[in-house]
Amino acid sequence: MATPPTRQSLLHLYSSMLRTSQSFSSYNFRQYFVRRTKSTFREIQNETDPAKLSAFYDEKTKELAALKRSAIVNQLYGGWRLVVEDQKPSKEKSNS
Amino acid sequence: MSFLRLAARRIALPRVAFAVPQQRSRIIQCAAFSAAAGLTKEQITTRVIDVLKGFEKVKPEKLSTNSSFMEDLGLDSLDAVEVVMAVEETTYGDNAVKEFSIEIPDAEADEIRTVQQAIDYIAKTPEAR
Repeated sequence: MATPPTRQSLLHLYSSMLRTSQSFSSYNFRQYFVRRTKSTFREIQNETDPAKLSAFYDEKTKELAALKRSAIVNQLYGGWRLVVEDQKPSKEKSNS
Repeated sequence: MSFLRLAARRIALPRVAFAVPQQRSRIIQCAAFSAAAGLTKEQITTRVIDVLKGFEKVKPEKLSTNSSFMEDLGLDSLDAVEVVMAVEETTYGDNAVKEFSIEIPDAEADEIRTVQQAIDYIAKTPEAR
């Protein structure tokens, strides 16, 4: 519990969380998780307490795993695009 | 028996065709385009600059191809990650299909510290379309 996560590993976690959040196919989920990831990492940005940092890291690693699973499920049940999104087709639907 | 099945399929088909046709044809068109054309250096430069303009912290007057993220543009390390992700998105191309674009590995994303480096990285990546 004593060793804090390195700056590198936190940044790595940040980019994988952002990337996973981007992969949600529903607009609302995608926007929410991107926003949430950004704000939680901003909060911890100036934190120096090793215990808090490693607790944060552990928690977010678990969250990333859950996020990945939910992103996959969300991709399976993605619907049509909303009017606020770009109307370009993002992926071919195999519903024929 | 097989005739019956064929008849059943005939009935089922129109419903699917009703929902899909427009989108299907568009995808095929776009795929053909993206396979044919790559990005020129100027296109990459304008796209990357446009992405950076979208960031609130970045002051447009300080923005040029050789400005550094941290020193000139005042971005921190979290912002730098966001910039790299946003730059990746611009390479999705006109059809926004992720498969044709690049995903910058973290090790190489760490190396990208200036606008010019980002442009060079995309330019030398063969899949960037």
